[in-house]
Amino acid sequence: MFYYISKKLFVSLITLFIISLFAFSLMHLLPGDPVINVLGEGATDEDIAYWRSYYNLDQPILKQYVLWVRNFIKGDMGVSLMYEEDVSETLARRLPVTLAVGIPICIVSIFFGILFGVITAVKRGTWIDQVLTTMANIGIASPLFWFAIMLILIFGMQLNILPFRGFVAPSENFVEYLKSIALPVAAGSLGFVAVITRQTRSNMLEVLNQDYIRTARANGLSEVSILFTEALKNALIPIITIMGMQIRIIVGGSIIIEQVFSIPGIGSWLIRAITNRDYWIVQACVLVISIVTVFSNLLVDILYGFIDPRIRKKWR
Amino acid sequence: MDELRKNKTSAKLKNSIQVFLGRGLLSRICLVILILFVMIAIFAPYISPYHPNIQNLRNRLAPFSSEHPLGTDHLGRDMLSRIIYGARVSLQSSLLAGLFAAAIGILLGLLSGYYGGLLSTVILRLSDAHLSIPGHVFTLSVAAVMGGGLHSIVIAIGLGMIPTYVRMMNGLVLSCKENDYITASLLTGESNLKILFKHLLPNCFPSLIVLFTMNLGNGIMM
Amino acid sequence: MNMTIEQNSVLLEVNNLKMHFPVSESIFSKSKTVLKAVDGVSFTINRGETFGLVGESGSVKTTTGKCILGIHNPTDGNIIYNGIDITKLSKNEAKKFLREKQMIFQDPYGSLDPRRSAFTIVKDAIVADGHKIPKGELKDKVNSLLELVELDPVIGTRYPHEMSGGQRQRLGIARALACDPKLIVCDEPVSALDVSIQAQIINLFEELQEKMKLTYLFIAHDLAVVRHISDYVGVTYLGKLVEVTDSRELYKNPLHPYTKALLSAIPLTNYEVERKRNRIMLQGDIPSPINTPTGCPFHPRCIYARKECLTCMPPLREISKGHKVACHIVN
Ligand SMILES: Nc1ncnc2c1ncn2[C@@H]1O[C@H](COP(=O)(O)OP(=O)(O)O)[C@@H](O)[C@H]1O
Ligand SMILES: [Mg+2]
Repeated sequence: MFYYISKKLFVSLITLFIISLFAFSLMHLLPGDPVINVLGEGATDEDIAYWRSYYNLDQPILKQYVLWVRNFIKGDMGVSLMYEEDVSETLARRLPVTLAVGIPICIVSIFFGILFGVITAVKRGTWIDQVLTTMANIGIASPLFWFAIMLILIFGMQLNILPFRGFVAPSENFVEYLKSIALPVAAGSLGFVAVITRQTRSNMLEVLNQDYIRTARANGLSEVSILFTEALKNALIPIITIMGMQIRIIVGGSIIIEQVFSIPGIGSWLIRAITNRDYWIVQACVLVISIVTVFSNLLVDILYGFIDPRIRKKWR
Repeated sequence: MDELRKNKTSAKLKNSIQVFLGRGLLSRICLVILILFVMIAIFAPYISPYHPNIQNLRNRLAPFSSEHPLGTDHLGRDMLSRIIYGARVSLQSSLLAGLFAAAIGILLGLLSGYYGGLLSTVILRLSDAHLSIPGHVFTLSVAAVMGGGLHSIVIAIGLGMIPTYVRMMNGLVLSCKENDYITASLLTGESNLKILFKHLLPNCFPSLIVLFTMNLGNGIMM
Repeated sequence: MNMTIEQNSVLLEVNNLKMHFPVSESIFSKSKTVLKAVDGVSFTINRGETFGLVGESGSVKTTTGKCILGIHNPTDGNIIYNGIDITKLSKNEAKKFLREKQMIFQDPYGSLDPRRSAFTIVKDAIVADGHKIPKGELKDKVNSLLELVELDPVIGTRYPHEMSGGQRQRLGIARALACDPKLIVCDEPVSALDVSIQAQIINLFEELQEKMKLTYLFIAHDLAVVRHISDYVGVTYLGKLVEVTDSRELYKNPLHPYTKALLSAIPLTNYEVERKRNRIMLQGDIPSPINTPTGCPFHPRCIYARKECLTCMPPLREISKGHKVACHIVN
């Protein structure tokens, strides 16, 4: 098991290294000088020289990268030229907001996905199965932003029962927080619920047909305990794989969710930075978002190792 | 002889269409929607009632009417025409992006699967790293760096789709090169180039077509 | 006997060939297991003769053949082909002999690219050596090769899935012949075919051998198939040769218990004899090459096994002239 985890960790670090190269080169692949691009043609030579040396742009490129990574690890991501805001500070403010929306999306989707999957598998062929399966298919096919806009139109503007703009921190007012994330979470988890539902359903159907389940039945185990101990445990392995693959989609989707619902998280910040060509923020955002993804994937992999006996045995 | 083969292929086609149509209401609806979408995209100039960019500032943000079935936008442009032309642009750009990604991804996957070793490790690590960057983040930032505009968006979407092709092609080649006919070709002294492009690529093609069509849909959504 | 003549008549000499595959349990763990596929095999094949290699499936026959063809790089041992040790050659030097050694595969369908027509498959093999040939001449050459293996040239337009098993195997032979081979490794070339077709293909092999002075390494899993075609037969078990002799001697006087068991699996045509015969049945399955039994690899299934069989691997000894056996109980 130790080998397994250390190998996964090693691969994650290599992945992060490549991503950091990508994020770093984003700014340097660009034609023109980023400082002049932001300050405009009218900037004084003194200003330009000051900011260039501030960002180490006058250093050789390899050194720039090393300095950038070192500063990043120390938590210093520089100052955005555009708004003169400290990137690390803003990040520290916005990351919790993103997590406060993203983590509920994960929990809600996994809970409902598995629940619906089990229901549709057990009640296979009944109307519940058909309704839920059709909804899952629609959920997989419909684009996130469209669904988000529909939710706003219906629950926000027509029925006027839920807020659809902004965000209230849970520490401020927990009830308002729940209200403010209701629509974003609903929009964000739809596709994920659909994918997990479908996967769980087909896995459960497969597992339920296997011999050991029949044996368990014959031994007089209750139907509910068969479902939730024997069957689900075995159906869970492929589901976790799917979850690992979906994490980057959730993270990517949160950008759209934040934009549509005006949530001051990292996603909307990134979009603003991109439209403003605020390279320092783009760099930092890409790296931070990727770190979140890479480590969630690592977590899933490790979880996978604990659950799947084949891996556990193979890697000892 | 030729006659016979022709009959056979047409029978095969018929058969696969029948199988497809037999797959239930949902797939039939999907097929209709897909065909409709492609038709609209192709015949946009003939279908749309107005030119998508003609402004009519006096008639801004008009509600639904017989003149403008879906109303007008903030510059008085006909919404229906804009949506119809939008379909065309979407289809075109996702097709282009898909071809771009497929060309590069298939080539890299082919090389990595066939030669293996360090080359394969490098290619697969890179595409794994790429897959760890959320798709939207990647596409948006690349498009921004390249200065926006349709061209850079197409390239950004295309670049974003490369790793799926690499992964898929790598796996396909790995299993395909175990076939005896590849061993046989090696024994006759056939060049690597020919084995790559005359044997491996054609035999992996059917699965690639499936991936390509699936990605086409994703490309449109971006 | 004159040494030079002896040297000249030998086309292939395999000396103590070993092919071990590493089976790593994990990248980080240090314990590396090796799968001893081929484990010390030696035999020689004379020009224009056929050496039959017989053993149950899993007794590492295919891998032996693939080592000789240069598809696998052997771990140890020498393969002396035409007087040259090909295991010591660089990749470029080995290329010179590549086309001289061809293979006929066990699964005729899997050995043909499903997306290429019969004509193209043979044509590819002809042009693969890099020589430019005019189009008309190329077409004639392909057609004459198809005729050589008794295929109607009309079949050239067909794809492998449109052909019968026998036709596919003939096409595979045509492809091998397109390279002007000297040595052909026939890896169970008839075991996937109907019994009625098997005889036809074996006859074809014999005719071709005569016409083109071919040398065969003929692999099979039962002795009945190799009986007619082989001059010498080697019986292999778990990557080791257990008995080598010329084929008449083998059928008349089998010495190794494994050979006896294989022989008694062939039903006899004479009913009376068949009824009275004392058949030796093989018990159990062939062990996995990852953990081969200690001592003689055959001892767990051998009815004569003695104490020494469990601990000590018997060497391949010459019992009578040209008859070698690896067994403790044979004197
Ligand atoms: N490339 C390889 N890597 C690891 N093991 C191999 C490889 N090729 C063959 N083997 C092992 O060698 C053994 C014998 O294979 P093979 O030569 O095909 O036997 P046969 O042809 O007699 O049936 C098998 O157990 C297989 O697992
Ligand atoms: Mg074999």
